[in-house]
Amino acid sequence: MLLPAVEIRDLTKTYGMIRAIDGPTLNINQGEIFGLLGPNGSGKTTTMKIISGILKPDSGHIRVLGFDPVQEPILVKNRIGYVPETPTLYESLTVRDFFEFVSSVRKLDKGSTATKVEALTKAFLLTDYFDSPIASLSLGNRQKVSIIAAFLHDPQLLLFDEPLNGLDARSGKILKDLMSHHAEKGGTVVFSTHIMEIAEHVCKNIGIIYSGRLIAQGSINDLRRYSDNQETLEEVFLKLTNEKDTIEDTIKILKNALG
Amino acid sequence: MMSKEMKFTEAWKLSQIPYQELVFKSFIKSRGISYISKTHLSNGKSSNEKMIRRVIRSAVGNKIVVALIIAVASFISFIQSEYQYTTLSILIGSSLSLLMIFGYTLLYEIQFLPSMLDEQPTELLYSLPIYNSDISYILILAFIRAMDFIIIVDIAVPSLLVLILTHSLLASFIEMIGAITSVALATGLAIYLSKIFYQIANREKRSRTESIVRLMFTVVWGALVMSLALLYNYNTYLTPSLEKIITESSMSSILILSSIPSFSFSFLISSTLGGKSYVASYAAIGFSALYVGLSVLVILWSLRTIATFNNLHHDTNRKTPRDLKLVLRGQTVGYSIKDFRIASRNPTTAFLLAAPVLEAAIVLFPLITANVVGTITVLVGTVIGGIFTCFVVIGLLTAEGTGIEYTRTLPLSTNKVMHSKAFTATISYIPVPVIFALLGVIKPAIFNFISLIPLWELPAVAAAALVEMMIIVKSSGEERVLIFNLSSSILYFIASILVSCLVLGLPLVSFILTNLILGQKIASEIVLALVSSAEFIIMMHLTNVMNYSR
Repeated sequence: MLLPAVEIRDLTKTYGMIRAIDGPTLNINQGEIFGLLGPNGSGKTTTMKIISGILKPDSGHIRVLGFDPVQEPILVKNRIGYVPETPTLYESLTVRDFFEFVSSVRKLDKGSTATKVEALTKAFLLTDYFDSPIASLSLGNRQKVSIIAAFLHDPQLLLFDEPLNGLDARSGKILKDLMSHHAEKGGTVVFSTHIMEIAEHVCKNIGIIYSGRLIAQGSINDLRRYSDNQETLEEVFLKLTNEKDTIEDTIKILKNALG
Repeated sequence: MMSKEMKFTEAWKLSQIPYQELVFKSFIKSRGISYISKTHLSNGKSSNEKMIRRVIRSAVGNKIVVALIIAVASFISFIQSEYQYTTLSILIGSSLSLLMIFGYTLLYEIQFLPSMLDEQPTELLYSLPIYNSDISYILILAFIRAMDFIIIVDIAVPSLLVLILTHSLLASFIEMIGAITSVALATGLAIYLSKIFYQIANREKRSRTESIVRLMFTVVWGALVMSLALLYNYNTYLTPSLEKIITESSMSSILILSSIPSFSFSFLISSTLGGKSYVASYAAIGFSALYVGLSVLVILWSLRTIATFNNLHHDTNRKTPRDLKLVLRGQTVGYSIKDFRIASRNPTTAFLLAAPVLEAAIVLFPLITANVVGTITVLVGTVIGGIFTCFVVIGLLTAEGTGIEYTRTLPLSTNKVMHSKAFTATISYIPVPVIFALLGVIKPAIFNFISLIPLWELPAVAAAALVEMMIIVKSSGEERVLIFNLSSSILYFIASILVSCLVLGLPLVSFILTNLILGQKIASEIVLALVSSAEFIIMMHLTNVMNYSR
């Protein structure tokens, strides 16, 4: 039996007085696309950063592809492709400079990297920006640069934090197909999103994180059962996070206020 | 320029927003987003407010430091002369103080203005119902906010000094006009240079020639910044030379001197105090009037240009690249090249590219006149070269900016980053051993192989760079963010430089002691090389075994 791609038990992380992660326990299997859903500030990005070995948890157990990202962050980072929520890249580098930097640091093979860079750059329509400084790119194009860099080293695990931010429809479709292709090859994808339709169509399993706690996980059907058979994932989400009634009240107040 | 829609008080109040935005964005760039978000923003409202106040205080502190430097430079200019408080001493003091004002204002502005171009601090105001002309007006006021103390000190200090020393209101007034002119000309030049830097540094790479032009420009820019930073030293050299020119040279030399902006006003002051040369006085009146007129034009041009900063954007005239090939290197070299590229496109760190050239110039200058390559010359040159390299390390750490966030996602250990930065910094030292080796061939030396001392010191220079970074990494706390902010880590900076100096000095002290004990220069050189290599091996081992978790 294959090891889980990500194994988390009772993980905690606190920033000052705020508990960003409050003891979630979670297993993500190899070959699956796992969606991490939650409202803003619920702890999705912190969870992603802990999985990727960027942040150290305060307590709890974590294994990524069989490695402990706290003790062996380099081994983990070698095996994952991470797209951060905000693409904070080196602004003064050109796209070409940036790919050269990432490929050199990852010690990639020249031939296969060239093939991938060319294919991905053309697919995401970035060719004309190849010698442009990253500072001059739009949010969507920066996101594309970050996504391409995440695919260059054939990672076993793709960690995408809101990967569709700023992407046009064409690039969004390509990315979703690439994620599916990655999973079909046996790779794993963990991605966070606010867009319920995408999670519903792409993910095999979904985890709902709220105030740092994992309040539900499973397939869409499992989640429907937990939430009194709500129809859509959006309804499931609102039911599980107890936001359905609050939202209806808020909308009433807003309608009155806006006239 | 000035809008009819917005009152000055309202515009001045609003200009605090782009000014604060500029200061804040620069701070984020120099500390990394994770530092801000995790250390401060998550700790509640009071912590956020504290941090914003701290950032603004830090910016005000920087301005005060620059203003103090200018004030001290002005003061020193007046006390350098041997002729205490005579017309000649006032003439020289006034000239040099105006020159210092010009130089330091230019130095501050050419580091500050490109950030103003880059950050687009008024972008948010465009979404509000404010006329574009008013936004330009607000931007000009934000620029004035960024320069306020400096402009006040630029104008007040030399005028007051002249008033105190001469008791002449007229002389003080002329000095004030001279100071305003110097600030105006420096500002105009800074704006012009910043625009060029922005355009050249951010242009798409289209050809090898353009890359070479950009590199050359950055080296010249770096040399200019470093030269301006060394203005204090010129002060000491210039005073006796000026005294000699003014008292001994011909009328034509004096006329040429009085045609230089800083000097024309000083000759005018001198003539109001009873200076004897009528020709120089008339020339000074003419040239001063010319520069006042020119500065009025420059001020108008500067205001117009600052107002258009909002509309300067990165080059969007795209062209299909010749190919999509990448040049791949090893981790260390790949990281060093990234550092080199980033540093070359940032006006505040571009001087790093000029570092090897400047190292060569600093070491070569005292050697040109020396007949024999002596031990002291070699040792001093080696130490200066080594210390200069330590400053390059600071520059490399400062250059990282917010991009460090991405580097943290890569499989790159802190040790590796430290090694690559030490490697890059050590490259800037290489001209020192090369120059001494060449001099050893050209000039007679007090003993063979003495010119090779800087070469044996090379491992110690790399070790000093590693020591410096180890101390700085310690200062960056739990997350091991390899990024450095000089203003908030000044104690660590001083500590790191002191320890690095010890590392640099130990092999040289070993050389001196061995030579004293054994009287054998060759043996002493061998000891130097061994100590230097040992330091390097120890530092490599220490950086490798230290437990950096990420």
